[in-house]
Amino acid sequence: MQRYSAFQLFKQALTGNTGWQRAWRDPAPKPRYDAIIIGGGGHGLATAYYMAKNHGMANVAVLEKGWLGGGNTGRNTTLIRSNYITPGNTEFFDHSMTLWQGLSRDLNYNCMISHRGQFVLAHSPEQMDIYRHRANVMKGQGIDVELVGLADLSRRIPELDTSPSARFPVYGAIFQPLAGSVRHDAVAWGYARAADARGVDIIQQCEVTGITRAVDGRVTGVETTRGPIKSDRVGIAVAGNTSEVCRLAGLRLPLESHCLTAYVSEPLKPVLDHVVTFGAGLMYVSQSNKGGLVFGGAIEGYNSYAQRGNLPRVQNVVTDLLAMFPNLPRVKLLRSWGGIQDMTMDGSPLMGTTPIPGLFLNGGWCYQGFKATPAAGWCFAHTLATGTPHPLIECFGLNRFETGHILEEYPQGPEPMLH
Amino acid sequence: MSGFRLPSGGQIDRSRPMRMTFDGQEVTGFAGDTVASALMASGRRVLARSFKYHRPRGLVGVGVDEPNALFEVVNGATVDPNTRATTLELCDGLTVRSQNRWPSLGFDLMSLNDWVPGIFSAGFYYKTFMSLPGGWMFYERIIRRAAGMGQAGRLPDPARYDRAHLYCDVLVVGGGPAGLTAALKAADDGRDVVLVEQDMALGGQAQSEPNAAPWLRDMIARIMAHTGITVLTRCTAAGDYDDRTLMLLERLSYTPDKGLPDLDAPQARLWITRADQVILATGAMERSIVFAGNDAPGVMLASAAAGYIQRYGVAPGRRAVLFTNNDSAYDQISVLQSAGIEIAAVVDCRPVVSGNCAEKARGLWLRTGHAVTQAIGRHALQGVRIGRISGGVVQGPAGYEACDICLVSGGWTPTIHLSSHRGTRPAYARDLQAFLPGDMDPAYRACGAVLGHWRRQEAINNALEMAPTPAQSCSIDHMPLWEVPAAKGAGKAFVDFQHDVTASDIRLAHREGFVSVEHMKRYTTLGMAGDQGKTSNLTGLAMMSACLGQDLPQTGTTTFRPPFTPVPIGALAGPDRGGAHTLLRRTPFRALDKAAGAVFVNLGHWQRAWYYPRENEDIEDAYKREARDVRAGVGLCDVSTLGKIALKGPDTAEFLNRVYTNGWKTLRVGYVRYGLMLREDGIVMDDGTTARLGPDEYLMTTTSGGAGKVMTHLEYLLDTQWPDLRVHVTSVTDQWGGVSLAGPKSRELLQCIVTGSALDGTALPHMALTHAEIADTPVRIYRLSFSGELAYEIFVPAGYAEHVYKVIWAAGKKFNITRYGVESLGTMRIEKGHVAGGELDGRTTIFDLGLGAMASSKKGYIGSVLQHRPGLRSVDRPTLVGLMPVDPMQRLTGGTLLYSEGAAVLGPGEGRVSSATWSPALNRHIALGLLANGPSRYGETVVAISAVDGTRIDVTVTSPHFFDPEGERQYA
Amino acid sequence: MRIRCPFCGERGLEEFSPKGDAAPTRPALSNKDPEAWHSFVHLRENPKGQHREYFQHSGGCRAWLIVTRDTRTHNILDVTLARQEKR
Repeated sequence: MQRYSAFQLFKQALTGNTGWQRAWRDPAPKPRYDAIIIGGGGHGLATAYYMAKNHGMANVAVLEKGWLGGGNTGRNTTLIRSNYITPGNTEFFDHSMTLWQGLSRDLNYNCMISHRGQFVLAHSPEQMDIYRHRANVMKGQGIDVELVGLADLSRRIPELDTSPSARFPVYGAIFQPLAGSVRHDAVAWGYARAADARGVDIIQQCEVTGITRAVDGRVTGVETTRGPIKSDRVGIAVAGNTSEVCRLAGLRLPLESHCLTAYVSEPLKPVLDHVVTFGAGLMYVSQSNKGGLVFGGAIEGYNSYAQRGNLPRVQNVVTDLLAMFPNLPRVKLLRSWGGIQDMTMDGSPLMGTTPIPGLFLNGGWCYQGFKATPAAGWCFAHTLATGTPHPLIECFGLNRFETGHILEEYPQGPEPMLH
Repeated sequence: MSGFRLPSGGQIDRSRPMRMTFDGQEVTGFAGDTVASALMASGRRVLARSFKYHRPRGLVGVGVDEPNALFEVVNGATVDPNTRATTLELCDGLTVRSQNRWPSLGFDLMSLNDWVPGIFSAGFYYKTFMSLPGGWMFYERIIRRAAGMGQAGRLPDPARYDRAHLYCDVLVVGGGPAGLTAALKAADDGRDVVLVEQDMALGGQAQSEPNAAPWLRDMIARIMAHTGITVLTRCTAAGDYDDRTLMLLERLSYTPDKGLPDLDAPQARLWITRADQVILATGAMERSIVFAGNDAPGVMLASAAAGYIQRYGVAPGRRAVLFTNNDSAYDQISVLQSAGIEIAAVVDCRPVVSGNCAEKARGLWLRTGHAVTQAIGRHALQGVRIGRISGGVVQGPAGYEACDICLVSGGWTPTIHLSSHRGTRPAYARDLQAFLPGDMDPAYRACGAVLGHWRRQEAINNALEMAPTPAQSCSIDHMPLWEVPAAKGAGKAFVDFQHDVTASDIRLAHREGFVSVEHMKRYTTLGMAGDQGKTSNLTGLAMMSACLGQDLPQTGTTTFRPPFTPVPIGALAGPDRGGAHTLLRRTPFRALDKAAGAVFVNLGHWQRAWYYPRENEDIEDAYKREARDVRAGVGLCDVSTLGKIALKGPDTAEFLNRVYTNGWKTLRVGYVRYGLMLREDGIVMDDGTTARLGPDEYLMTTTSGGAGKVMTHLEYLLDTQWPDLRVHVTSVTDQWGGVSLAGPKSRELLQCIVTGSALDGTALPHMALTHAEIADTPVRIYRLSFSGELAYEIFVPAGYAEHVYKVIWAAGKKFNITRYGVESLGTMRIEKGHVAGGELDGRTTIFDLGLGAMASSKKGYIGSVLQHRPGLRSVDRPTLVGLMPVDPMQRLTGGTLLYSEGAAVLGPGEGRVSSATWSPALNRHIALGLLANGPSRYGETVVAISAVDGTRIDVTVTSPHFFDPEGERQYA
Repeated sequence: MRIRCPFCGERGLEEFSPKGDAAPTRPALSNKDPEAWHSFVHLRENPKGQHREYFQHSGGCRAWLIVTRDTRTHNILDVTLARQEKR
């Protein structure tokens, strides 16, 4: 792998940038692999990378029906955080945050990991109590977090509407300093380049059309648009399309696909230094390094695979944004786009083994997919390599709805549109 | 100084001069000018600095495609950043300033970036800034400051925006020749037509065409006179959503007639438009050709030059080189000549041009088989190099031609954005070298230049067709030429001006394997700037296709997403800006409470009286006094926010039996019962009481926050699951005002004012209700207690609620009645161990709350099976307990974690404090909590730790029923 | 999106509240089998294509509708009253 560095950049610049090598190969599929990962998004690529790096398994293929990183990895609002309250989620996302911290250097790819801190606003005294609970659970996990009072908050984000007469008066916030944003495309590309360098085959434009199984039910490989490929271990990491791919193996899952729209404004000089999340509705905003305000809200609420939403949600989201930041009405929306999320029945992911031997699942990420990327890859690699779920994801097993060990981060019941 | 005002011509009103300031300098123009045309007339060339290299930039286009000239518009304390000069109308007193430069537009230190060769290539930032751990945070601060374009305002901006809904038979998007024709035709057919045009004037490209004026005048007159057509100019069809719902944005501010915007008037109006049929007559945009130095101020689109001359009476320069790969540029020759512009050369990459073109270029130096290979000049174009080109390769040395403008035409790109907002893939027409609208919904039609009918008459004919079809062949002869390969050392050749994406960036992306359209776009940032690649996307695609040696459509097309042009966020929020999208609900006692000095708090959608401070009291003093006074005498609390649902029908008891966990078949008329409802998965959803008012008539109350959810739940069950049940449900929350009258003296007080019913313990026992009157107003009186005192809930028709409240208050004076708010209500319910929000958090089961006795085993009900899943029944689940600090004066707070004494303070703890208060009745701090295996731990001391606050308190686990556990007071 | 409510006519999406898959059949309340309830409450077909889904006309007549819609395109193919269909 061609090492990236300031020196290399300088050296290549002198020769007209003609010496840069391909970031990853474009291999043809081999007839058999030790493991196949369906889905070339951040999760699939991270899984392949950690299989090669942590488990010495390089004879692995990542199959992507389009272009790598083209699903939710390239469509999210790029936020990372680990302010989770549900036991299981807390530990998992804390591990993810640890991996994020060293990721750029690990991959030799600048993923622009920006720990600019996230404020989640409280709009009632009760909400402050809920955040205190959350903060204490985080502290119990060793995560740095603080509760911020109103005066302090208004000093740190002067543009925030903290007036008592606001429609959604602010009482304070919970602040996680390590939360922040990451350049999403770089995550996919960085993992792809590093996995490729370790021998993983990343095969784009290769759609899986069938999952083949032996008479005893074991997985034997996949059918693809580029021919059959054999492997006795197949991992699915196709959030958004999880139901569709699992249907190929006859699995029915506790999830629905929903569209989440994200938005970006025209580029502006720095106006917002942190991630700020509204507390009286689902809405979050940060400013990208390019200067655009990147923001999002809740899913549309009806099942969708269309990667685009409708006007009522747009209006809700911007109204929430302006309720927080009354200085922004003249800032212009540049682009909006949709991604399809797996929404599970409790708002937490589905990871681990499936009833089908040799078939493993990584999906159901709801709003958390991007921030989970490193830990999901790390744990899914372990699961694929060893055949048993990594301890951190045991709680995300498919059978938790039958056993009642549900993980409700935002307790709304088995109604995905409300999570 | 280059551009200048022509002595005549244009659609400007020369009798109305207008003054603006640009970077502090005065510029004059006329009504009808844009800021761009006025600046051009003033002779200014450098209007902006580019995003990355901070290169001096001038005008390229005349409309929405302009990539360079973006300004901040300043009006008082408000700033509109990134405002396009080509669409901003000049009005008197306007103040604009350039952006993204330091210290000034003419001298920008950041342009040093431009002199570091090759470092800032595509994706350079992915390859460096990694050496220090967490080092990115250091670099990020610098990069963020350097990036970005305009400044956003920092102060609250009162800008108002309007919203309206529009319904029509036919929506025609685009007021060019095709759109005008289509609108008129549809209206003549008797359809109700809305015609939208983003420009301030109708006509589209026809406005720049020398001989189109008479036709255009006539068409506009007919359109304006037609009663079936509503014309919206300055109105952009910005987005297309499902079922022909379009988002139109009509600009209302910055027009020459209105002058500077009045901040109290709407700045823009969002039309949510629902049309039966949509006709896309969105036209086409000219694109440029990539060559070295092609961003020098003075290199612009040929059609834009014609536009400035024809529309604004401004010439962009004095000596032009025309560079084209197609016939359309020849149409501009006469326009340029009419403006007195000297045409130094006509450079055409085609080896041969038609006789028609040759005729138009008669007398000019026509150089076929040639291309402009390089533009010379940094702050202003000085001249161009012209070389022979064949097979896309420059042959031999190039000559030099001095000029101050170079007008380029690289062909036309149909404006297909709207046609693909709903996911329709564009279709490539090889002969036209263009993407056309793909297979659209049948309610959509396209016509005119967007279908490749480039010329006016063709577009008109196409619009008159019953079902307009795309052009079968190209009416403008052309030869593909996207890029003139730059000679070594000739400098940067730009594809995307606004994001400073160069030809070598695209080739670098190719070398590194970023070859799919989306990878190229994201790696180079091509087409991701404010203009969303209007003039650059196709060129970039073509160049990548060339690198890959494949056809353009094989490489693909990027997805167009709303909005077409940027839309102010405020306009999308419209009148909801203040939060009106989430209604604030107030009770009928609002005015009385306000007069009584109540402090309010928002709980869910409701604004409720929180506490009633007396002189010098803070919340602590007030709630303690209120709770004490209630238990000592009598108090009045607004409970109107309780959800109220009327249920009627012979199967109501059966229905209640199915939705509540306890039994309902035995409830007698005139009695009330407490009930808990579970979600489908067995978690507690809500609690409340339901009264039986008559044999088939019930009234349910829910928690204040749960009312909507419960109502929807009941309706869902009745409509979709059990339609055989004969039950009607109606929300009556707003129809009834409600007060709770609590305290040992409540009965005595009520007896003074209630007529029509006896209130003594036998006539109205606990959990019974009666119909009576207070001051001639019919009321329902429930004997219910949340506070644990002898208490009544009195419900009054909302319109009479104030009246009854006043009567109760007046009668209460002699009992020393007090008002109490939700804070002291909370205190008293904690003293009683009643569960509420802190405990009903959507994670607890009926067993967790210690209410397992209410889970009937004799019947099935919603959640009855799944609540017994092993994970929900394990003994170590946190279960409701009371908590008393060992030191009674130590204060507990909600959200504090509970640990066994001596246990490691790690993880989520064994439970938490859910609700805490000072108890005036017990004269100590108390709390409710959820603790693992709680009920078996009464008497144990545990540690309450709030690490985030740094507190650690020893607490004794007790029963949650702190006060009057036998209920003697409420049964009194 | 616009939905044609059988009572109110065609109305904008903002008047409606979706509530997911209309296909699962509720077990009888007397059914004590957790598997049957788990399947009803949690498992979904989640098709890419034609999907029958509950919408309540919450900002209108409050009737519950079953909307047949293509989840790839959002095109609505049919709208019926749940009460009629389920009876």
